[in-house]
Amino acid sequence: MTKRIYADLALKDVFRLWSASQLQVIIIAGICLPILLLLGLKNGHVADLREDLVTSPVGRQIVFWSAKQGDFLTKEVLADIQGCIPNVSLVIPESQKLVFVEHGNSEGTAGVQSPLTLYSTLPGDPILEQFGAAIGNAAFDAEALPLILSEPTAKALGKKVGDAAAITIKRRLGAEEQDHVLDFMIVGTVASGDESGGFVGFTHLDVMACLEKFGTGEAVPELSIPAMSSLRAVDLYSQMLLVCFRGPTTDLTAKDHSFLSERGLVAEEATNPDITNLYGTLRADAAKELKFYTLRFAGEQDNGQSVIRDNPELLSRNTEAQDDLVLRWCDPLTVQVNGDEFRLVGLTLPNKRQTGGWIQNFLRRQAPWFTYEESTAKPLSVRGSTSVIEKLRDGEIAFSEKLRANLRPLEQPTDDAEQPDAKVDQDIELFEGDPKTAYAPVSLLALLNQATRDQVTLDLEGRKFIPASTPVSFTKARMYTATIDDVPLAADMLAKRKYAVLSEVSRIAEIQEQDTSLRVLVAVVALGVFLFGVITVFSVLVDSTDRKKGMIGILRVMGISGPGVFFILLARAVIIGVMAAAVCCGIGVLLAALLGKTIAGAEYLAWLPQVRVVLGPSEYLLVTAGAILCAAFGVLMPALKASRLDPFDAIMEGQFH
Amino acid sequence: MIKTNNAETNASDVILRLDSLKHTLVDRDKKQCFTVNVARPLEFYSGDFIGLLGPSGCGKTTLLSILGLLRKPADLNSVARFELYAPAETQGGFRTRVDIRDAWARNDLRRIESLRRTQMGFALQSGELVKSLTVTENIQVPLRLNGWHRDDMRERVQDLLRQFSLTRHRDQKPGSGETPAVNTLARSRVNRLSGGEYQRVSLARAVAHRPSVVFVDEPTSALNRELAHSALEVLRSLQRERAMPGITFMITHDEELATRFCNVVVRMAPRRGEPEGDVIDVVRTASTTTAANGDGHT
Repeated sequence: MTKRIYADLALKDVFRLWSASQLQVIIIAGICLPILLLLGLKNGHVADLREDLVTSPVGRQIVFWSAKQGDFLTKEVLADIQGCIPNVSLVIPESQKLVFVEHGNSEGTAGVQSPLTLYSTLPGDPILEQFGAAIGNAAFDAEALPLILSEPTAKALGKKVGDAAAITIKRRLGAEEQDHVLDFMIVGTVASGDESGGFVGFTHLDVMACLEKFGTGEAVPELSIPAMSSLRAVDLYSQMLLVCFRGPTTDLTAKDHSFLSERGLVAEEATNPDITNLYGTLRADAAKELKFYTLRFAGEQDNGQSVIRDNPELLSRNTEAQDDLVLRWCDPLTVQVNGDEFRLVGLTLPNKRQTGGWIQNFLRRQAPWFTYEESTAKPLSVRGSTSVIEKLRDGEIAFSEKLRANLRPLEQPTDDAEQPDAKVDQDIELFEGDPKTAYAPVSLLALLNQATRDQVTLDLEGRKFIPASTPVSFTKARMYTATIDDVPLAADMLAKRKYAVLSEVSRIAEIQEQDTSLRVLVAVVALGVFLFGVITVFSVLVDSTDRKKGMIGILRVMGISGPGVFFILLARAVIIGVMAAAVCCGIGVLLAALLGKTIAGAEYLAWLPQVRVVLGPSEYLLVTAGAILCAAFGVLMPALKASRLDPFDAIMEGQFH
Repeated sequence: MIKTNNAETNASDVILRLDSLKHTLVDRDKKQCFTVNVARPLEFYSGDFIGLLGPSGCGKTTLLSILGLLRKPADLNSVARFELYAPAETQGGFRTRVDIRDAWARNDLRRIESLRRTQMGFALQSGELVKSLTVTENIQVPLRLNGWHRDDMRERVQDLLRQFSLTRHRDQKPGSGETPAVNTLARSRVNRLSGGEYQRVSLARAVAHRPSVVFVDEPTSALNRELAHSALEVLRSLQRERAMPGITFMITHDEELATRFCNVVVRMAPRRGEPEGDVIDVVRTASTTTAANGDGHT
């Protein structure tokens, strides 16, 4: 309540005694105006420098790509990037695909196909927005897929916005080729195109992701396209088995060990009887003549997995040991058949006519094994004793919890008689089938191991393993920050994530440096002017306060406290500061307009320089704060002095009667 | 010589009491000092109109500054008692004793300022109205500072303007249909007032918030005798004719004025050859009513 009375007294003092107040208002406005104009000129200069960067989307664009070091750009990685880097407006992974667009030929007949390069885009893509085109949010909601064409392309194809476009996509895997026709709808055109004159179009990133998936031969459910029939998973091995004859010329030499070591492989002699007789398939005396080594990859490969990439035949050929045989090898797996546990051994061997075919001489009669050809042609085959085969035929095979539902009974077991190169020599030991062991191509075991790691899946329809569907990833993307000032930090953060980065960062940094330098310059000048202003206001207000001594005295006599008097004088100064700021801002706006344009017919003003003065809310606020502070600092000492005045002295002006 | 007629007073109606004082003023610029002595107790009662008389430089205004709580007594030890009996804030019709000596001793400036705001009114020689305010607003200042309600404030100001004849109406043509009774003087800024109007506004402001003690310094300096008498009559009636009458101190050189209005006359005189002034005489007349008619001088 009291404060309100004080404020009222201050307000009335300013406005009703305007002749005294106006000088103070003019002085403070005069002090603040140069500061305001300096700020405006600085802003204008920086705005000129930034103009082309601000008007073009390229200014706030950062192109980055993995360059073998940064993570591939999956949906998760992109979300992480957008979450970590501040002020990111949009990230558009870059993807381009060559497709074929159907259109009429010069004779007007339909059916001509021309190549069209499709690029990915997203809603809000600044590159397209600058041409007034934009893709919708939903890629698959409409009957047709969205397509934006470059104007030259649309003209050449005779298409316009709203037209349908039939686009053929093609893929090839081995000898298998597939074509699919997709229905697109042209939703916009942009006034740019391929400099080489090729047809150019843009579609939603989700559509491009489907096209990427299509290219790998996988099924694309979004476009109702099944996987290619020749799509198969590749079997990978973490170990191999080297078999050689015992003897100085046939065993592995030190040089062989060194050769293997160079390739990251470690050879260790296997002493496990299961291995030295290949799980009961070799004759009892084979161990006396043959020596077994397990080859393991010592280094670490992708995803922490050890995979031997070398061809076993080449390894065999490059060792000094004579007649050594390198076999792809997997440890046996435990399989449940109707709840009973069986051991599944992978055994693929060369036949007699192939390199290492000598191993056949050591096999027991009727031993179950698979040739290389069988492994490829019948990957889901299994062999074993008759009892085992019976159980496998009727049972549901569960390799693990995950594969319990998926793994169906394997290929019909081959009768012993059908076994390739089966020994019929009655002198040869007969294979004694273990009732709990079954034999399969080693590739099956490798694929089952991969299936547990979700690298492959079992295609029940095609009765084959196919690569697991992996999320589509991109190697390159365009990022747009909210302003060009956010580019340096974003580029720096992307570089720290090991991406190669391309942006206007150096130019932006240069402008920002100039801005900072000018800001410091303005601050120094403003500080000087401000201090000068405070001193001027102080001297004016000292005099003014002295003249108000009588009024202050009577207020004190009426019971207003010293702090109350201080408040009244401070409030008066603040009001004067606000008024000065208003005057200063008004004149500033007029001057900014006057300096920025040529006034028609006013030749007498031709001497005025044409400069850009940019004033915004922050400048007005700064100057208002400066004016208030200038007035407040200026009145501080006089107000303090007045608040300490003895009321009696103030009335009697220091005299006594 | 001090004469006091206590028979006419009632001890329970004491408003202000000052029992001895020795206050020395030092003017550092002129390297001079001056001492005001009050050797005998001064007691003033409800409704008293006190005239403070004496030649220039005898310490009248200095004594007023002490009584009006504008200055702290230089030597508090010289003060035996200094009390004000102010209307109790909560109990109507009662007064509570405020030990001013103790408040000064504790340097309780907040209390002193509060007492000055609520219990004191000043109409000094120079007037010192607030230039930025109108006549009405000037009179309202003490009321606003004392938290008066807006309606009460308006009523009180109108009453004071009327009683002090602070009215100046616009010339109206008969039958012109103009809104009557627009007091243009009330809305005037104080720099447009005549000397007499200025002085009367000052008096009105001094008495507006019904203070216990009103100090008036040379009230007639800017007024003609007739107007001065009229204004003092109003002042006296306003101080006396209320539920809890207050007292009025008037510094004047005008013996006739003192005789006409004051029921108590305090005389001061400088000591010969010494920079000191003393209260030499306190005369209380028999009846304040008769004092108003100039009778009963003792």
